[in-house]
Amino acid sequence: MIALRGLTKEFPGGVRALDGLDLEIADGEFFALLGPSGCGKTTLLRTIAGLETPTSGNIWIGGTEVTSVPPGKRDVAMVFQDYALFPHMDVTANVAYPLRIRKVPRARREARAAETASRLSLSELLARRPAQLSGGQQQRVALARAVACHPRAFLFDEPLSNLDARLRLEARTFLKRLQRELAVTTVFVTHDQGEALALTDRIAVMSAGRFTQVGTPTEVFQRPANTFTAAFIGSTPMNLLPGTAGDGALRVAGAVLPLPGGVPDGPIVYGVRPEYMDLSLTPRADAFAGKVAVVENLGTAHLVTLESGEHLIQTVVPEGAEPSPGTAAWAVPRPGRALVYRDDRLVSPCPANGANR
Amino acid sequence: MRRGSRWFAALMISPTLLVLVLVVLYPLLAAARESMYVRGEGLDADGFVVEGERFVGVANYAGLVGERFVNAFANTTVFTLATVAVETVLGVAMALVMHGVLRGRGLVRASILIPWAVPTAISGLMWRWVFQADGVANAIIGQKILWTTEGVQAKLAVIIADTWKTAPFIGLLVLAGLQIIPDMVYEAAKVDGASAWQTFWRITLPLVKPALVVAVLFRILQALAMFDLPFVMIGRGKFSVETLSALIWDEATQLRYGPAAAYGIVLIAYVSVIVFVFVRLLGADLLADARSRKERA
Ligand SMILES: Nc1ncnc2c1ncn2[C@@H]1O[C@H](COP(=O)(O)OP(=O)(O)O)[C@@H](O)[C@H]1O
Ligand SMILES: [Mg+2]
Repeated sequence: MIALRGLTKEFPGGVRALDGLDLEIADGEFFALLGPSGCGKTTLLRTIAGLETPTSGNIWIGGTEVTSVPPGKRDVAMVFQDYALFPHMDVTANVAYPLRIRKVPRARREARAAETASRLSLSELLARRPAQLSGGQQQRVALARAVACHPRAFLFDEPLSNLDARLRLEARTFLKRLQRELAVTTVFVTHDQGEALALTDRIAVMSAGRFTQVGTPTEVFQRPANTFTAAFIGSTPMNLLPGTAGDGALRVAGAVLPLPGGVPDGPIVYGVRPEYMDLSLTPRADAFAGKVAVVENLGTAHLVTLESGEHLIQTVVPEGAEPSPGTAAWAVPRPGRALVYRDDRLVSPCPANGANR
Repeated sequence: MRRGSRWFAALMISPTLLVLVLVVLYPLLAAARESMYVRGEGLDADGFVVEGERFVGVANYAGLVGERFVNAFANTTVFTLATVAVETVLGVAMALVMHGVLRGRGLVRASILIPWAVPTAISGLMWRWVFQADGVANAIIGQKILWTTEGVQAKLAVIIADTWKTAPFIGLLVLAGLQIIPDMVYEAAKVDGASAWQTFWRITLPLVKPALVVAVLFRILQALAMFDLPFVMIGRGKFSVETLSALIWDEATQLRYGPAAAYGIVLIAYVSVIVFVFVRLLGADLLADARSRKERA
């Protein structure tokens, strides 16, 4: 278990990279820290590892307070973004290094290194140095180094970001299986929302040193607690449009939409994912009217951008149904898929209990 | 490689080769030839006076078993071993200090490097002053040692002065090596729980080894040719600090060019053997690294 209480890190010069974070990560949980570059993910991970000292707040790992415990005594293993392999050691020595520090006898630690390496399909490469390995192989060596020493927690800093797209998918599946098998508490830093959704049990979405939402991938995807999370999660950016609630309806960008329960009258922000809208070529009142501006091929579907007054509205249409640019079209939100925000807080559908702060 | 391009390659490097032949090979061959001749007046086998050069074969090399040569050879070896060993330890320590200081970094680096910038002859004079009978050295240790007279203490004085002067050189090269080690490597070791001592031996030292090997190699070459420091500090022709270079110089100034050349040839052979052994023992790994880096690129 990893717990944070009021964790704050201010760098000299006044950058507040972490701003009063509270969090609990359960034993064996696969947990993602997700956020745009510069939001403090690496700083948080390094603070958990003990490589940075928090300005205030406390950290617990496995029930013991470790806030002022040096990194080597926290029993965590870290995989750095650039792997940080030891360039002068071969794969065996790299993987066995943490065991060597723990004074595990040579024969035992080399056997363990070989066993871990074979699990990660590195057996052929045991005698190679990092410089003789590809990026994907180096990443697996870094993982093997973390896995071989059976720590209380894994800390991964964007370990897949240096891989090309196909390798990244393979590594993702592999990583998920490995984590399930080992059941070691894992904190996984990424700026890729797809990776976070696909891999982990829970996600903390970060922005400017704070958590904007903590929840399961389903919660975070279906009920983003605020517009930042809403805009950040999803492979196509969510439509977020200003509107008003009143007279039993939502009025948004010229469309009159049914009023979901629990939305008080007043100004709102209306959110709907491009995937949750259908395109109609005949006029409808419950739709956003516009002109097709751009059509992007996504492979199995098309992303259509409508120009609707001063707004741009995006919708995904199935293969073969794409309109040609310039035609008039109406984007119809599917019932029950809308997200309504007031003062940047989700008011409909009801936010899940404890899913947001 | 195709034949044509091989000739082209040979053509392209020929100016360099030509220069090397002129400034290295020719003097070397000339010295080798010189070492088998004597100059000046002498009597030939029949008792006639001869002028100019005369071939004597390996007679000039007879001095190799003489007491003076053996002593100079031993002095050179002792100076090289002692100074390079101490300088390596001190130089690495200096590099770690220079690398580690956060504030006043420029000042620390400059002050560590000053001894290296002082000309050897000047620092020789300075140390002679330190090692006077009523000098600073004796004042500090409260003894009355005659440092700059013949004896083992003169050797010690030379070793101290040389170390003072050239440890910063090793420090500087090792510092350059330290600066290219990424911080993340140290952090990885820290998370693994490595102590400062373990990190130094298993991470830092192996990673600066390429730089250190080059620095030590340079120092060995310089130390084997040591001349000016004992000369200035202790004096000319002092038996206990006479190095091979000093001996060669002395022979040459007394117009015994033949023996001087013979000793010179021996010194070159000695240097070559030491460098060869050194590179074999420590440098092989360095080359392997460079090769694998090239393969990857
Ligand atoms: N050592 C440091 N000194 C000062 N500011 C830092 C330092 N490390 C990170 N920062 C700042 O802290 C913020 C968070 O950085 P980081 O944790 O690296 O973000 P992320 O990993 O999410 O991209 C950034 O604004 C960054 O500039
Ligand atoms: Mg980062």
